[in-house]
This record gives sequence, structure tokens and C-alpha cells, in this order.
Amino acid sequence: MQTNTTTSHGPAKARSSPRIWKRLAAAAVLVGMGRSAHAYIDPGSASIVLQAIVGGIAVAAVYFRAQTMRFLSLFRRRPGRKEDGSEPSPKDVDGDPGDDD
Amino acid sequence: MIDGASFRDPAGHVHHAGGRVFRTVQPAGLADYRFVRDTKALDPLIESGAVLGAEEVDAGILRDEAPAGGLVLEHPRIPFWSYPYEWPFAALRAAALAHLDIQIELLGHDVALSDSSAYNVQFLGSRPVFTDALSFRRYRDSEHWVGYRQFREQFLNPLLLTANCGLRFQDPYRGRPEGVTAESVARLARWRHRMSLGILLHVVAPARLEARADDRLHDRAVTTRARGLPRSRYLALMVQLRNWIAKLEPRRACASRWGDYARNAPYDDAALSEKRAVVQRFAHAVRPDLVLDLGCNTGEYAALALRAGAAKVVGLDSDHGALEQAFARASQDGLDFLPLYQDCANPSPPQGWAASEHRSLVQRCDGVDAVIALAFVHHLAIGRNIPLPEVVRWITGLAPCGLIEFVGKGDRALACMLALREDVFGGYSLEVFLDSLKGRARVVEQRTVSPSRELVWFQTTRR
Repeated sequence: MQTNTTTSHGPAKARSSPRIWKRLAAAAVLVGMGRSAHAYIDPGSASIVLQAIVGGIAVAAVYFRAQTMRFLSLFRRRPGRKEDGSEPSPKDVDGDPGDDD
Repeated sequence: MIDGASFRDPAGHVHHAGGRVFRTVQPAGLADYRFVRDTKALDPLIESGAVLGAEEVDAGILRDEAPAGGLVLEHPRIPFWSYPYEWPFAALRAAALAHLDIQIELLGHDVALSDSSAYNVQFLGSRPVFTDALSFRRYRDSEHWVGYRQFREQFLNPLLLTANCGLRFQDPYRGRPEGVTAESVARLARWRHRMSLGILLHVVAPARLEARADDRLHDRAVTTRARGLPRSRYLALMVQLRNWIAKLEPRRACASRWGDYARNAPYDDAALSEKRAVVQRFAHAVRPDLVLDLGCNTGEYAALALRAGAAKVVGLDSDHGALEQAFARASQDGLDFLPLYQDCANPSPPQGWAASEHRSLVQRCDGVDAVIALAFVHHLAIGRNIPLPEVVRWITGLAPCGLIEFVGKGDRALACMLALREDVFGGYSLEVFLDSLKGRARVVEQRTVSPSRELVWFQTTRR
């Protein structure tokens, strides 16, 4: 798909008709994708793009947290703590992006 | 009759019939509904009260509104419907955490949510309950969190507006029922908060990207979506939001003017005992199913009414600090008491599409069978210049019976209110109050609790 380098200054007020068709085509691709079923709300472009980044950072934080806990456990015995690398749950994961407030 | 707020989701709609609440499952939502039902993942959540129960019933009960080729579910009735722009900070935070907990729990069963609407959460007392049975659907491998933006706008951003920007979220939220935009929070956040990772990732970055909204971003979103989001990222996103939100506090935004009223109240011990006794007697005699407590403050009299025989209380107040204390009281003591933010001189209007999506405060009072308004009338009549007979008309129109405490001009509280302004309230007197009341209701009992304070128990057949 073509990229447009002239529209990075903010939302363009006047759109040429080829651009509208391009948008419609992109929308059609979205609608045609199998994963779009029943998603009746618009997630928004920014949210989709961000999730990959923010989710990646969140996973890294979870991993870092797990490694820190593992390191600390060398000095402090904490029986019953999960060490099996299973998926995080609120009880397992304490790192949060607001910690540095 | 189809619910005015239930039209967006093609999977089904809410209907009201004979005082009961039904939800249709249209053919578009049938496969997902059956998948989720058969996983039995919702059963423990319904058992614990986190999710509202739903029982399949004969579709014929809805007659011509029954869905062709679909199903009909029946839900227990929510006693009083409230909206996020009326919730205290702690209530919105509790609703956000409940929403995330449900999503995190269900993801392990391959169930995801099709949206993150705060309007799908209601309160039974101070306990949040998720009400929309059709928000649950099958998780599709590597899908993105569809409701991420909605979650931010309807839960995270309003909480940040209060916790980090020092502003109360309720008024801007009511002005834009879709929620608070990332741009608003990004503009208002203090610099030290803007440098925090959470604000950068969940507020500043979306605000910048949403402001751009150009073709390049759109194309990138399409390719990112096609690539998919690993489940571990989906889950980590929600887990970290949960841990962050759990730590948010309202801080100075909810400082109270009235939270210490109980300690500083202008009563002597005898007057206070008398007032408490009348409230108890009223609640015990009427045994109301749902009381509306106008000017509920920290919920002291709501708790008293509940102990004396009232089944449920919804409290209204405009003091944020008092509301936080009231919500904490309800949570800690397990009371069926829901304190809500409301400026009664400007109560919630009908809002949304066709002004029927979100009902007005008064429209939602149809189940209220008693009202108490203790030391409240003068806040409208003197504080907001609303004629006394109008205040009485409004209160008596909310419920068939009630208890009103009238505060006369000789009282210290009123002297304080009038100290810096001209007394233009010639029509404010006990006589005018009683005349207005007797024109609309029968006075069951009248008690003088102090020389300037009168408690009047009224009964009316009019609604």
C-alpha cells in the first residue's frame, strides 16, 4: 500500500477523491479480514498501532519483574512463588507503567 | 419495549416487559453467545456477583419483539441504573478494576470482550456488576484488544483527570458521555506526570497519534492489525493497566467541605438523638425498598435507614470528598447503599442519541418509594435561589413518601449562608414550606428537633 509523506502535518481538511477511494479500499480490507467479525466498535488506528508497542513494553516489564524476583529469591526464601514461566496474572505481576509517578 | 440505550450492538438488544428485563440474542450474536455459554467460564463470575446472571427463557414472552432465529435471556432487574459520570472516583476505579479482572480471567478460557463500555457496569450497593451478556465472545487468535481506546476514554482517562490533573471527572464526562479524550488529559497533566511511563504510553502517545490521524497511520494500523497481537501482549497490557489503576487516588481533587458535617453539625446531643430517632422510625414504619437520600453527605443517615428497615439507598450529593467517604462506608460495611454525584439544581438530563440513550435522573427514580432530604432544602432555596415551593414540588414528585428536615432562618447554617449577601428570600419560611407541602401531601408526623429545625414526614399518592 502506498504511503503518503504529505499528510504528516495533521488531518487534512480537503481530501482528494483518490484518497477517499484509498480509505474505502483500506476499510474494505479491514472488513474482509476474518478477525473483524462482531467488532462493532471502532478501535481507532492509534489504538491498534499502540497496542503492539505498549503490549511489548508491558511484556518486557513482566519479564523484567520475573527476573528481578528470581534474582531476589536467591537472597530471600519465598515458598510457593510461581517460577514456571506461566502467563502473568494480577497476583503475579506487580510492575505497572505508573510506578515512576 | 426496547431499551433506548440498546441499539449499537447488532448481537442483541435489551427489552423491558411487565417490569422484567430481557435481552435478545440476534442471529448475528448467536455463535459467540453459545461458545461462551458452553465454556461455562461465566458461571463462577455470575456466582460471585461480578457478572449479572442471564437465564434463557421462551422467546415467545417478547411476542412481536422476539428475534427470528435468535434467543431471549432474562436478567435480574438492576434497582437503580447509574452512569459513570455520576460515580464517585472510587466507584469508577472499582468498575475499571472489575472490568479488567473479568477480561483477564476470561482470556484464559478463550473468551474476549467485544467492547469496554463503562455503561455496561452497574452497581448493586457499592459492588460493580457487569451487565452485558453479549459483550462476551470467542477470542480470536492474535486479535487486538478492540476496546482498548474505549477503556482508556471511559475508565482510565477520567480517573487520571482526577488523580493526576486534580480535576473532577464527572462534569466533563457528562458533557461527553463517550468519555474523556487522551488529548484532554495530555494537555492538563502536570509535567512530572507527563514524564511517567504510564502517561506517556497510554495518554501522550495516543493523544499525539489521534491528533495526527493521517493516511500513513491508518495504513500502519491496517498492517499492524493484520500481523496480529500476541496473546501475551494482550494480557500484559490489561494486567499492567490493572495494577496502575489500583494505585490511583483522588488526592486533593476530592477534598471535602462537608465530610466533617457529622462532627461539626449545628445540633446539640438531644437534637441529634431526636433526628436519628425520627429517621429510624420512618424507615422502620415505611420499610421502603429503595430510598433516595438527597444530600446524603457521608451516608450516616443512609446507613441508619438501612439498619432500621430500608432495603436499599441511593444517595445524591455534590461534595466529592463526602461522596468518597460515603462510598468507602458502603464498601467497608457492605451496605446496599450507592452514593452518586449529583447537583440537584442541575440533575442529570436525558442524553445521547435522540436524548433517550441515557435517562434523566428523574426518569430513573421510578422504583424509588421513599425520599429523605435532611438539611437539604435550604441548599437549593437559598444557595441556588430556587423558590421554596418549587423545591418542595420537586422533592415530593420523586417518591410517594418522605422525610424532610427544614432549616429555618434562625439557624447558624443559614446565618452563615446569608452573612455576605442580601436576604432576598422573603418567601423562605416554615409556614411557606408547610403550606407548599400540604398542598401536595399529607403530613404524617412533624417534629421540632431544635428551635430552627423541623422534621416533617409526608405521604402523597401523587408521583
